[in-house]
Formats: sequence, structure tokens, C-alpha cells
Amino acid sequence: MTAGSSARPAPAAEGIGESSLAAVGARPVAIETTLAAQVQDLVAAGNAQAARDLFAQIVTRQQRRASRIAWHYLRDAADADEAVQDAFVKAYTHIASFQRNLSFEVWLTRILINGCLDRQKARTRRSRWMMPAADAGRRDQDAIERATRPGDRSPEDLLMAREWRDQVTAVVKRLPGRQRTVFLLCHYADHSTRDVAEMIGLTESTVRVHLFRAIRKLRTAMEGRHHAI
Amino acid sequence: MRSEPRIAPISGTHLSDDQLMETYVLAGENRHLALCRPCKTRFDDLVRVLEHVREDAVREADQVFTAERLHHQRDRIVRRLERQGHPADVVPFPTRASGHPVVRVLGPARRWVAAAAAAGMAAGLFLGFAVDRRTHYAAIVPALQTAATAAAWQAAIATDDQFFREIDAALMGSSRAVELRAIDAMTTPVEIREASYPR
Repeated sequence: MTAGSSARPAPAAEGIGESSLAAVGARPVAIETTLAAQVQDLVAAGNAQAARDLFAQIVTRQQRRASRIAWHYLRDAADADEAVQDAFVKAYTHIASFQRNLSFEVWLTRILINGCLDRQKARTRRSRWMMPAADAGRRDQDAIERATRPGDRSPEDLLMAREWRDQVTAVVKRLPGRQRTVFLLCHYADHSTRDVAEMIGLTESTVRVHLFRAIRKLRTAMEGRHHAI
Repeated sequence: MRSEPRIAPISGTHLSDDQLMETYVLAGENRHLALCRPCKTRFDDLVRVLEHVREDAVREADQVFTAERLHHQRDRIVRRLERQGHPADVVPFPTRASGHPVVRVLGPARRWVAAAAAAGMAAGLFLGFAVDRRTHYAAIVPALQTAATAAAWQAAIATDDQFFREIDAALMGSSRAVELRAIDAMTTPVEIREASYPR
């Protein structure tokens, strides 16, 4: 069950019906999982073109969600874009090892998170020896500001909203590794604690503990701060 | 999911902040919230703030990853998948056309010059070797060893990232780490420019 679902409806699973229940957990089978199984069969049969065409449909359905996760993990659009590309390519390359009783979304996210972690480590190593160009993050901020419609709010509101967002981003960035990962996946990407446990190899109760601590830190840091809602 | 029995006011009055967050994380019903208006208001406040955090994060990511960017991303993924099925063509080294052997004709003078140059080089090597064989060997061997070590080291470094890993390992494991760190502290990091990225 997704955290907070007593206050908001749980995310609708894109299932193909109660009649097609996964073997594990009795969850409806998502369309992506069904498509992935078909891709697997096509690859095994040697029909590479058809497999790629079908996999492209999976990409279309999953790329936005994956990009959101990668963006919040890496906070760099170019890095996040490449991480998402790498994850999809890796998933296709290793489609033979995909287990059909699991969710394709969970499997793909696991690949993505591992890729993001590797990129973060590589970035940390590079930062010891090289200084990134000053405008590296500026392009991303420019894109965000251009996309914001100033007509909806006063300049003061926009400024406060931006400050609030910066504060939240800073707090999330300071979270310890596991807490940050759990928070991003549970809260930003709206995955259930159960799915996140599968993605990162922890028990569900441990995931909940990490989520609780992350939320508590966020709540403590945001207390008393003014923000435009 | 049913609420945990322990998520109830300890003092019999109101839920603590931690208990409210616990209720949120467990996504369960809490009977106390149904009975206590102040706690319900605080819980709704918490949910509202957290929901706003989530919606803002989603909005921010979507402002960066626009539909156009996602379209380009998809295209690149598809191209990479297509390239997987078609390994790069190997362009053969240009060879001479058969049936047209190149005939080099050297005049007598050129042949003598070439022979004299070869003889001079051979004599010089022999004399240098004979005059101080031990010094010669002493100079060659470590150079060969260093070259072999360097070659082996270079071969092991496949990417920039691997290069930095090696440096880190050397820095941490070296007995001269103190001197190296001092140099590192004095050295200005190289400023790099990232390649422009299509939006």
C-alpha cells in the first residue's frame, strides 16, 4: 500500500484486469510487464526488429516516470537523460533475464537506480580533480524558469515558491543515501513501500523506517518556513 | 492496511508529530483521527504539505523533461538499440591495387647514400655499445621496465573514470599521501566545459 493512501487515493495500477494476476503478491499485471514478456519472446525467436518496435512502446510509457526519478537523483538534466537511456538499453540487452513474475517497472527502476548511483560516484570522483563549468546547472534552472508561467502569480509569490523549492531540494539532498533513495521512490515517484523494497533489496519495514525518518527530517527543516502554496 | 494499535495518544489526549507521520507512512486508518478534530487537522496539514512537496517535485522534473526532450530521448534509445544489432563496419586499411606493383628505382648515387647511412648507424651502435656496455645496460633495463609498467598501466586505464579511481587508490594507499595531498591542495582544479547538449 502506498504511503499516505488514507489521505489520497492510491496510484492506479495500469493493469489488464483482475483475471490476469501476477503469481507473486496477487497484483494485477501491468501492461509494461506483458509487453516485456512479448519482447522477450520476440528476441528469443530472433525477430529483433519487432522486438525493438515493441520495446519502444515500453519506452514511451515509462520514460517520463524514469526521467523524473533520474532528475531528482542526479539533479542534472544531461546526466539524468543519459542515465535513463542507459537503463532502457540495458533492460533491452538483458531482457532474457527478466523474470515474468516480477513487475517490469520494478525491474527497470532497479536498473535505473543502480545506474544513477554509479553516475553519482563517478561525479564525486571527478569533482575531486576537476571543477565543472559554472554554467552547468544554469541551463537546467533556465529551462525550469522558462517553463514557469509568471502570469499565474505575483513576482513575490514566484520568488517565495522558488525559495521554498530550493529549501526542500537542499533538505532532500542532505538526506543519507538510503533515506534519500526511499524518499525519492516512495514520495516523488509514488511507488509503494513494497515495490521500493523489491527495487533496492530491503525489507518493507526497513523501507518504511527510512521513509519515516526522511519525512521527519523534511518536516523539521520546513517547520516555521514560509512557502507559497 | 489497518492502523497499528500503538498509534494512539500516549497521554490520552493528542497524537504526537511522530505518530502522525507514522500514520502517514503506514497509510492506515487511525481511529483517533476520526474522533479528534485537532489531530485530524494536524494530519491533514501534514498530508497537504507533503503532497505539495511531491507535486512540486513532479512539476519541476516535467519542466526539465518536456515532451520534446522525451521525444528526442526516445529516438536516441531506439537508435542505440538499432546499433546494437548492427556492429560498426570495419573499414579495411587501404592496400595497393593488385597488378600494379610499385617499382622503386634508385639511382646508383642513392643506393650508395642509403648503404653509407646504414653502415654509419650500425657502426655507431656497435661503438657505443662496446665503449660502455655496463652503463648502456644499466640505462636500458630500467627504461624498458618503466616502459613496460607504464604500458601495462595505460592499458588498464580504459576510461577517465577508471583513471580517477586509480588516482584515488594511489592517494589513499601511498606512503607519500601527505605530500600528494599538499600538492593537491595547492593545485587549482582544471575547469572543464561540458559539451552543449540539445534541449
